[in-house]
Order: sequence, then C-alpha cells, then structure tokens
Amino acid sequence: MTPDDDLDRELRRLFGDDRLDVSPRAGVESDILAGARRIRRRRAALATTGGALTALVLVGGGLLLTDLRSGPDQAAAPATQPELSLSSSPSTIVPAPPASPPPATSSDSATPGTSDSLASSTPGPSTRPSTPSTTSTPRVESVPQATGPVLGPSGYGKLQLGMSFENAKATGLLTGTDTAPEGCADYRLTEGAAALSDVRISSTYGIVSFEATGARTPEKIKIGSTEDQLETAYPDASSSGSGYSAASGAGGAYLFGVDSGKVVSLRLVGAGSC
Amino acid sequence: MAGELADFEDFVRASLPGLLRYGHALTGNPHDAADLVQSVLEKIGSRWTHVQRKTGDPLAYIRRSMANAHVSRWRRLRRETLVADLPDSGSVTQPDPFEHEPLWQALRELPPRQRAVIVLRYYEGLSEQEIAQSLGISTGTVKSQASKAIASLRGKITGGREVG
Repeated sequence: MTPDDDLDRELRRLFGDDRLDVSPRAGVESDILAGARRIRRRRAALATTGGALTALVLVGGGLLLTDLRSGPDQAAAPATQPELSLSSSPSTIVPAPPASPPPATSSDSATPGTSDSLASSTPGPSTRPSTPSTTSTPRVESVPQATGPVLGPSGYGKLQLGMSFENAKATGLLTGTDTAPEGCADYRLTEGAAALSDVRISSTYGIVSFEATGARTPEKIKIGSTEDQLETAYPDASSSGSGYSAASGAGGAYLFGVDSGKVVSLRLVGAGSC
Repeated sequence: MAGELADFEDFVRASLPGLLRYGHALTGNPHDAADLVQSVLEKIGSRWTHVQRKTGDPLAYIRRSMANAHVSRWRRLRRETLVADLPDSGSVTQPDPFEHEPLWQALRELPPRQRAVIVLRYYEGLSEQEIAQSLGISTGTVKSQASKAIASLRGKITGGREVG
C-alpha cells in the first residue's frame, strides 16, 4: 500500500462522510425562487433601457433601496458582522436589518449542519448583485499586467469612475481636454486606442464610462472572448439587452455586448449617466 | 413563466441537499456553502429555460458555476482581507465538525483552485479532462494543481502524524 493509495482512500472517505451534510433551512427554496424572480424582473427592466442608463438603474437603484431600508445604522453593519464580510461574496453581502438582534450572537449559536448564511438572508433588495461600499477597494494593483492592458473594476490606471473632468485632465492621460464637457463628452487616450477607444466624462458625474477596444477585465474577458468564457468568468452575470451585465466589484458594472456567441463590446460604467 | 419556475422549484428541492454538501466540500464550511448555493441558484433560476436548453445537464452546469464562483470569490476576499487587515480565522467561530480531521484541516489550507481540483476529482469523480473543462483551465494546469495539492496534503498529514 503506497502513501498515494492511502491518501486517495482517505480523501474518498472524507468526501463520503455524513458530516458533510448541510441541512437546508426551511423555506429556503421559496427564498431562492424569490431571488430568481427578482433578478429576472430587474433584467426585464434593464432590457428596455440602454447602455449607461442600465448601470444607473443597477447601481443607483440598489443604493437607493439600501438607504431606504437600512437608514443610518447601515454604515455600522459591516463592522458588527465581521463574519459576513469575510464569508460572503460582494454579490450576496446582506446588511443587517437595524432592528435585528446582534448578528454575532445568531451566528455563534448556530449549530454545525444548519446554514445560517441562508437563514440570514432577507427577501427584498438586500441580495441584489450590486456591491456594498465595504467591498469597493480598487484592485487594479494586484492584477498581473503581463497579458495586455486591464480595464479594472473601477477604471483604467489613474483614470477612475466618478473622477471629475479637472482631475482626469490633470492625469495627462487624455487628449482634447482643452474643451471641458458640456453635459457629456468623449475623450481619447494620449497613448492611443489600443486599450480603450474613449472615456466618457459628464460635467456632473465625472467619468461615467470606459469603452474598451483591446483592454481586458481582470477576469481576462475582452472583445473576442466567447460567451462561454464570459459565463465562466462571470457566473453571476445577468443578461442585459443583447449581452450581459456583471458587477465589477467596485460599484461599477461591466457591460458586455454579445453577438453570435462572441463578446463584441466591453464597457465599464459607473453610477452616473449622461 | 409560472410553470417554468414551478419546475425550477422542484429542481431546487430535489438538488439542494446534494448541492449544499458539494458546497461544503468546496468551501470548507457550511455557511459559505449555503451562501454559495443560494447565490448561484438564484442566478440559474433567473434564466432557467436558457440553462436547461443550453446545457442539457443543469446540475453539472450548476456545480461548475459553484466551483468557479468559489475560486473567484476567494480571490476577491483575499485582496480585501489584505487591505482591511482582518483576522484570517474570523469566519470560523463555531465548532467545526471536522475539527479533529487533519486531512480536512489540510484541505482547508489549500488555495481554492487546488481545492476545487481535488473536490472535482475525489468528490465528483471527474476526469482531468472534465475538470479542465469545468474550471476553464488546461489539462496541464489540472495536473500541476492536483500534484501540488496532493504533495501538500501528504506533507501535512504525515508531518502531523508521524515522522517522515
């Protein structure tokens, strides 16, 4: 008996162990169904609007609902719920309802085998796939640059969603900045159009979108990627118009246009619109 | 649409225990498992007809989505943890049913892609080719991740149990 065989047998034994069972909380099926309907309704609503407006609904709508639900206590929720902020993805972090008992207690007393992650979710807008502010840390720096320019979750290099025209101009990365936007205007990069074709800046909202040419997302999706690659990289993406929309993880969203199974356009949009 | 979601509800009821168990193997704790299953199923349910038509085997598609969501989720969490300086063990506060299983503890310490490869191989019984397709990586990467994982598991459990 070689050690390999031992390990094989041990792994199979472990993965066959009854203690791996997790009992579903009662009623979770209807919660999942409600979640599916909610996503579908939102997608149906999004399908009738276009482009940047889509993201405005997605992000702006989510923030508004959160504010209405949670009030001033919301800012404190992540701090009192370190467990949730560690163990949940940005797409499912659930801010504690202000009136609930201390969340740490309910988590600590949960017995193994029950699923209080499921139990802690509430119907309503709290499971929307937009991103709470606790997860908006820019993560451009940690993305390897070796395989081409990256359009990160919050922008491109120093150019970031929401950055004012003046600040964007000061980076020196844009051309044509002698003219400030009236309403909205598109600006090209001084480096050329290999990564991005243009950056749209609103006089009100600052940078509202980036239109990619050769740039890819940190998850390695770019124009020319297949729809399968897209779905694999963004399992949480929702259909949007003729393509997909995926929360970028920094308060923005990637909008992918898809035609004949290929990504044909890629845009990063923020909360502002034109 | 109502009929279609009724069908999905039946599917969820039937597949939930298996998916939670798989999620537990994949994530290493029941809470992340529940969270992962719910978020993936909500997405799947929202395009249930499309998923059924396109995949032919929704359950396999869902497990693939879970493996990928778990791997990419971990990437995000690691970045945030580094930035926010949160304690590593903050999410494990209640007794772990596998607390005294050195192999389970060793699995926990694997990077999630390696762990996903092990789970797909030993829990799901997939071939290297199938694992490669599921995770969107090459078979070469599957081989190297599997051998790294096995070496690391072997080192940890034999190191903890006996001398060399």
